[in-house]
Order: sequence, then structure tokens, then C-alpha cells
Amino acid sequence: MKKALILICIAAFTLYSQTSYAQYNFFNGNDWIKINDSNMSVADKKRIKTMLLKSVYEASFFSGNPMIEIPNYDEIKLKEYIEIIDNFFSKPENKIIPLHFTLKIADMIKNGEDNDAIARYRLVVLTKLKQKGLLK
Amino acid sequence: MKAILLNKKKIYLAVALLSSALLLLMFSATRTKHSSNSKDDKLYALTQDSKYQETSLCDGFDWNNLSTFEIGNNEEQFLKSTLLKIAIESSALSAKPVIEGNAAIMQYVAYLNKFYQDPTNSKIPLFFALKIADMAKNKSAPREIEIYKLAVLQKLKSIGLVK
Repeated sequence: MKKALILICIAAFTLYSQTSYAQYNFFNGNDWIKINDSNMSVADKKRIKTMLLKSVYEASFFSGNPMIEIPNYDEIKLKEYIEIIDNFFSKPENKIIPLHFTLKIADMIKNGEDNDAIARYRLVVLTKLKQKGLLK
Repeated sequence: MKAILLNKKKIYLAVALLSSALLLLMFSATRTKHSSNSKDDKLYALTQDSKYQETSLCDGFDWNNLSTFEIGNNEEQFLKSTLLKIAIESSALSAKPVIEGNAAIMQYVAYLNKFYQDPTNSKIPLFFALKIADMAKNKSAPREIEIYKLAVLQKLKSIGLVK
């Protein structure tokens, strides 16, 4: 009886944690595209996108694992990534990638890395997130 | 007889330990008081620097700037929550989650709206402001928060991220 109860509890917990992971929505291409669709001025859209990239960069930087290397941290450099990310997210198959990893991909594109390396990184990100149950 | 001697020894040991603990407490209290005062001065000096130029960090200036956009209040609050969501996600994906609490994100937005109204907090990057909001939500002492704020500003200043 006791064993059965413990088993039920474990099963319920596993099910619950899987469900809550599956419900998590990262900020990804779909959200990024929504900014383009809003009524804001072009300048405001650019400012917001820069803020979002700053937020990603800083959080990863201050967490000790910067997504990209910016010598003498410079906002202007981040602005250069906006167009690359716009292009990347314009492809429907990329919209699922969280902005966090997209910044890294944009950096790879900016640095002229070959398409195979970028595709491999993209695949690794998707596989890992799916393995962890963070993506459907 | 032996038992009495042993007990006596134990009592002496306890008294010695207690008195050294008391001495240590008194010493650390004096040190804390002294360092707190000097920390206050340093914090004041840091926050009263000459006219601050907008930094490249996502900080209170960006946060408050959102109200100048031609958008409604709901959209503004939504964008703020998005900024926080991204910071939370990125820190978690970097294996170092910035927040420990589980308060609703709009509660953090409300806290930061108030926090960034104070001009002395404008230089604090959003990442650390979020951490401070989380500390406040987790009932950290205001003194502890002030000390954390000072440490952040000092560190950022020393590496040139805050002028």
C-alpha cells in the first residue's frame, strides 16, 4: 500500500513537471516578429530590439557565460545584430529558436562562419531543449 | 571525584567558548558599523557622480525611456515584463538563474517601476535590479539590499561598465 502510494506520488510529480516544462514559452522568433507588426515607429522598434538584445547579452554576461564576445562592451555593436536576427527569424523554421541562442547564431553569421557550423549549432540547441522537455 | 573534575573541565570549556564568541560578536559588530558608514559614503559618491551619460547597459534609463514611446500603458508594462522574461530566461539558460523566488513577473515589474523612479538607482543594470527585486520579494533586509547595490556599482565601475 505504502509502495503504491509512493509510486503514485512520483508518477504525479513527473507528469506535473513534464506538463509545466511543455507549457513554457521562450521569447523566440514569433515574439520578435510581433515587434515588426506593431504600430510603433521604426526608430522605436529598433530601440526596443536593442534593449531586448542588451537584456540577453547582459544576463548571459553577468551569469558568467556570455553568448557573444564584445570587447569593451558596446551597445552599437549589438545594434548590428538586429538586421541579421530579422533575417534569421523571417524563415519560419527558425522562429522556434529562443532569442538567447539566436544572438549566438547571429554572431556566427556576422563572423562569416560556414552554414554547416551554424546549422549544427542550431540542431544542437533544438535537440538539447527538446531533451530537457523545454521545447515540444 | 573524576566525574566532578570532568564536569568542571566541561564548564570551563563552555565558559571559554562563550566568552570568545561574545568577544568575536562585539568585534564584528564594531567592524560592520564602521564599514557600513564608509559604504554609505561610497554609495553616495557613486550615485552622485557628475552628470550621468546614458550607458550601453540595459538599466533604469532604458526602463524609464519606455514611457516616452508612443505606446499605451498596457503595452509599456508588457514590454517591461518581456525584458525581465528575457533576462530570466538567459540567466537560466546560462545555468545561473537570476531569481530564486516564484512571484508573478508583473510583481517584479511593479517593484522595478518604483525602484527606477529613484534616480540613484538608474545606473543599476536590469539584471541586478531584478536580483534586488527578488531579494526584496524574499524579504531580505533593506540593509542587505543596500550593501548588495553598492557592491554591484563598485564592481561595475571598477571594470568600466558604469562610469
